Amino acid sequence: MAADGSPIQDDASTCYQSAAAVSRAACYLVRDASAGAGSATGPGRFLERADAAGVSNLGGIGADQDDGISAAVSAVLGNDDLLRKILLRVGLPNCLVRAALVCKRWYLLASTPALLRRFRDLHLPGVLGYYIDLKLQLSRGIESRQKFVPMPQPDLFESVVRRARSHLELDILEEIWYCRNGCIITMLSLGSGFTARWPLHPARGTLQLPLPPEKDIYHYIGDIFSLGDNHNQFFCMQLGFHGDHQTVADVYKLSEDGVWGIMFMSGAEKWMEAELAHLCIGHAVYLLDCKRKALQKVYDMGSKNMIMLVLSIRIDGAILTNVGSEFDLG
Amino acid sequence: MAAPESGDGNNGAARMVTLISSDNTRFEVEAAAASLSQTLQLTILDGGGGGGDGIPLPNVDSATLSKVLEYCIKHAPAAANGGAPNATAVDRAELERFDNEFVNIDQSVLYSLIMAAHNLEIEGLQSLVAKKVADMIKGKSPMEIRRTLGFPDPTPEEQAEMNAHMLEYGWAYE
Repeated sequence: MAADGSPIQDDASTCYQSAAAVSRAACYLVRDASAGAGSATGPGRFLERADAAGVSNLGGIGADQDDGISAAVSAVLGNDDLLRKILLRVGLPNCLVRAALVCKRWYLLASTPALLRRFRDLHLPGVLGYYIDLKLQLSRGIESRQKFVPMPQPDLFESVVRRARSHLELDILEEIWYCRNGCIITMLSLGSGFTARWPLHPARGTLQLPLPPEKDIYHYIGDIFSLGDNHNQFFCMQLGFHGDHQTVADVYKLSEDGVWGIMFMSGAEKWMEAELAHLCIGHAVYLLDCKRKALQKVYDMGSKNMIMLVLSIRIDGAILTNVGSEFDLG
Repeated sequence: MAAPESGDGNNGAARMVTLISSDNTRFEVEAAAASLSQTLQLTILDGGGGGGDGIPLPNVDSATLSKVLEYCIKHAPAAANGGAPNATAVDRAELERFDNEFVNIDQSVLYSLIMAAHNLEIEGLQSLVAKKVADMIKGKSPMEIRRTLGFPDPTPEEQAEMNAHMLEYGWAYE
């Protein structure tokens, strides 16, 4: 899988960026350096172009009519295996959406999660654009505004941006915490909850995400991110500090009832902020501990796919490479 | 003729096998080429298809089989090199040129090829022909796809639903 598309930034964050860019099935992991474990006030966050997930939101359409098709054609198109192979190769997601509307059977085939996953494996989504955090000096103080800047789109995706434009603009004073896979998670003000939205699918509306549980030690939210075929499963990493520079990291998953449930709890460590990051690979979440050069699986959605991973971690000038289906760097 | 060993017949004179199409035409090809077919590979490894026997292929007619074998013969050397990691750029470009030319065929031939590649499990050919149909779909509206592939006109209800979805997923149509 190509690792281009992920701009290399400073070393502290490159370690997990490069690993993820190589191995993520669904998307490039492109984000600013400072967002790894802590502050989310980077200059720009990238939003991916729509992927084929949109297809699964289509309603069913009319009945199948094969009568008029010649025997050879209907033998081929009537075979699910063959039709799947064809649909997988139409290239751009919008071509898949169009093909899905040909008839009900095509729609049902084109919208299965397995096919969409495979489609995304074959056709990596690109970056749709990015946000610039504009700091405006106003009479009432400094205000931060998120400006969406589309990437030059030589292909049909120009129209995606054009149509979603009004939903991509965030002129309210929101801070962007997460912006990938067509999902944006923002926070209006410190201490308020999060809002998730899907600008390319405005019909999905917004989703309010509560803050993760309070801890009795000083803590803050390290990161929030989404996973899943429709990017509707949310995870949050929270860092907590004890007095003697001990840090703990907890990873939570939001339940369907909107309650954060603990997925992972680390022991106390002397971590620096930049030494800890989350990593979404395929359908699993890992916690990357740069200090111990360890990667720990926190959550797995139970994908049957084996994850082949080439992981290059650059720590203290040394390059560590591991090739395998599972991580074991410990 | 080389000894009937169960190898891929790379040394000395290549081992030949005979394939028999549904209309009883006999094709003699190198075992290495025919082995691109997963379906045939086991039979050939077991020593089948040699001598006067021949392997009957009741689902493939002679016109389609000769086309399939044209592909196999061209791709066999690269496949024998294990996906040809040491193939030169020139070799790869030549194969690509061949592939492009190869699928430049009538739709009826194309669909027969798809079925044959599927039944014979020839991976590269399956991808190639699926890609060709996908290219015919690419960039077309649902209606245009239906026409290209010879679907009947949609019923008024189907048409209404298609229109509604085109509105909702307008970005896919511009």
